[in-house]
Amino acid sequence: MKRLAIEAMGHAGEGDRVAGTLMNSAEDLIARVREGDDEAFRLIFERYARPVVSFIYDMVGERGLAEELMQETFVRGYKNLGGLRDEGKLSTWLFGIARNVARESIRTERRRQHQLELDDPLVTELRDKRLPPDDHLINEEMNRAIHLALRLLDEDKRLVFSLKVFQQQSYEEIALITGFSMAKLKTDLHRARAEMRRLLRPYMEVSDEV
Amino acid sequence: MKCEECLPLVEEYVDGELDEREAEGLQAHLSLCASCAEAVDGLVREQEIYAHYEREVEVTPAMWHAVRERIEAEKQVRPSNAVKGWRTWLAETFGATPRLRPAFAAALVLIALFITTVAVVKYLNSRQAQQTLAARDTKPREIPREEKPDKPEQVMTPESPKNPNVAVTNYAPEKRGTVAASVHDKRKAIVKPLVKSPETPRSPALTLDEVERTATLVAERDALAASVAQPPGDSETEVARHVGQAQLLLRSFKNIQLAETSHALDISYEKEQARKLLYRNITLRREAATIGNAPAEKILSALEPILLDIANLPDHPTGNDVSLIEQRMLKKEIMAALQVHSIVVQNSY
Repeated sequence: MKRLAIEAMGHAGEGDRVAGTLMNSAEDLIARVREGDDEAFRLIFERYARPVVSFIYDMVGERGLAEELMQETFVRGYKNLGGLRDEGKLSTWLFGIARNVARESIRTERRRQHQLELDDPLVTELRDKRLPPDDHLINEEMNRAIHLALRLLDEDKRLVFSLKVFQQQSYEEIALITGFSMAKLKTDLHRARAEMRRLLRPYMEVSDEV
Repeated sequence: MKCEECLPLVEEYVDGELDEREAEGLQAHLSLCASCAEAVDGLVREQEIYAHYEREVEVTPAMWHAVRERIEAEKQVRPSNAVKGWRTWLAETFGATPRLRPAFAAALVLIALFITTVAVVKYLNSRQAQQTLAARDTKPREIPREEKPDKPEQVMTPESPKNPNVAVTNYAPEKRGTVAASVHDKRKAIVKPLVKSPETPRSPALTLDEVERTATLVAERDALAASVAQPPGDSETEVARHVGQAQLLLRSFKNIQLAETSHALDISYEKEQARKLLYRNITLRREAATIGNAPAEKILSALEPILLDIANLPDHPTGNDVSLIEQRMLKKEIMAALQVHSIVVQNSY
């Protein structure tokens, strides 16, 4: 019953995970890396780099920075692999590192990012609930709208929203990654969804009509 | 299920977080309620839109090469984690395990405290042993032979307790067997925090309240140990042993006054012994009162203030400080009373 609605939709990271699981389990790969097999770590990188960089991008909002932080996440992961106790939770563990790497970056970049957001005209559109300029914007504009709407969420809400809605992590996994209580993450997730819905309503309506 | 029960569960349903039973109940309601079904459909539509969200990021082979280069560089700089800077290690380890951070930090603090405590206790133990030996080498007073059986408890051996502060309360543990020894170990944990080290320059004065509270805890442990391991009627033996130890202490105390009069005296050893005997004294006095052993209660009641006075002396008292206590001892004729008690007990066997 778990993941009832979601599994039907498919997900970018999910397919990689399943395919990878068939070939090399996370446990096997970790064991090989611990024995000094760097090729195994390359497989881990290939499997998880995409979801990790997507998650970091959601958190920091800048492509170059997200790619840089993704690399930092894997370097840290390699160095600390000895500290991973439950090899079955490799992705959760990597998201945990990514979350911390992103958070450290956000702390230092906060002021600059805030200024960028304020300067973007789409932020004003989202905030003012204006209708989008025309009806054929869907893909590109929607991507941009989602990206900017995410930027308007506070950090905790953006974190749980990205992990749940985009990365398909379970509540339990999100609690492990963030350290949040179940009650907090459910509340944050509910509010994040409501806020995103409010910000994206005009775009979603257009999307429904198409 | 009603709408007000259904709506709060809609998100968890779409997220696949409901268990089988809850999901079935919700599905049954959805088949009957159009508005709740619409709420679910809305969430699913949103999810579909988000599923098509494309970010402008990509993963290229160059990124893996960059990661590999950094890992290789790390390996060359630091062949093992053993040489990693502790700050980096802490930051990375904590950063990598966000959920474990508070517990891990707490564990580190506890480990640090434990190591510090062991180090301090070892240091004090060695200092005390040195002082005791030095005192015996230099002071003219003689340590009576009867004191020797207690000595193994003062000298650190691999089997003996590492904390000298609990040595005196460790009376005759060998008689109590394994269970009693275990109880005794627990008692050490209670006694330890209140017993100051002999090296502390200004130890706070003991109050009777403090001592009584601690003694109550010790007594509870003692009672348990006694009930498990000691035959009935053994308390008389314990009192006799305690009185003998007190006699040794008071004799040693008097000898200090005789040997050194003009400068500050080092009585840290006697002070420490007095503290330990004080706790034991209170326990035995209560036991004596409980079982109606009036002579024991009387002698222990007389002894208690003297022990308290000695325990509360500064580490380096003047001759006058010591002299005052000695006068009190004379006034109460405590040495004679202890001697009489010992003789009476011996004759009764």
